[in-house]
Amino acid sequence: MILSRSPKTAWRVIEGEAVILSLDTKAFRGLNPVGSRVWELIDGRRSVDEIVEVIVREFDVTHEQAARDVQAFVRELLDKGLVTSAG
Amino acid sequence: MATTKADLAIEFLPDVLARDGLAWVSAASASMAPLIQPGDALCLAPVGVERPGVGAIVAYARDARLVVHRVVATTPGGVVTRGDGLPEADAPLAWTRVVGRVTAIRTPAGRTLDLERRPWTFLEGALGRVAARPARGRLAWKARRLPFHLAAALFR
Repeated sequence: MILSRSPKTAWRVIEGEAVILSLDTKAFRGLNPVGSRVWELIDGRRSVDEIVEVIVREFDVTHEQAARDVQAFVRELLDKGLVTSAG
Repeated sequence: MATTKADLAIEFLPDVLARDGLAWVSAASASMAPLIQPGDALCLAPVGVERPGVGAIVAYARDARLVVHRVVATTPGGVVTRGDGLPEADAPLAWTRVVGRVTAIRTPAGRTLDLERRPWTFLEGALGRVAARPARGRLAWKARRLPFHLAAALFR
């Protein structure tokens, strides 16, 4: 699955962590360092599997754990409309 | 992350203005009294190609706070602003720092002042010219404040 950031969001990296604003609900969502990196990697080109590979390389985490966490995080982002599935 | 929700709101204000075309913010200080009082809601619109002139009320970020003051002079690169209730003008400001322009004021009692309609389009310029004048001494200061109190009485 390839994801894109929704155009209905605005985001900034503040003090090293991403903050996302839903322009529809005006709700903020602060991300931890791993979530921030996943958010940066969601670019409409990389697949979720490729994002997991990057997280495994850059953070001290097993492939299984990273895959589980990234999948859960991506589901949450999709549910909140912060990202869209591009295929 | 030590950033507060208010900091974030200021940070993202340009995004909201670009997307929605307006944003409501709450006045927190009396620097624009008597026309704008703490607790008033202020409608901001993006600054377009036609930049605000003398008398317009604009918003900009300073020290992680949103400042809403009146334009008292324009320069090629920006503006000089001043709070109606303050004796001194602010430091000159580049246009790029101006987040938006106040187009309406709504009091807690529900009265709304549309600054884009007459007579306010005319009064804004007049108030800007008064605000631009230095007021030395107590009497001059009181005289300078009079038009702002009249404007507030008309609206509030």
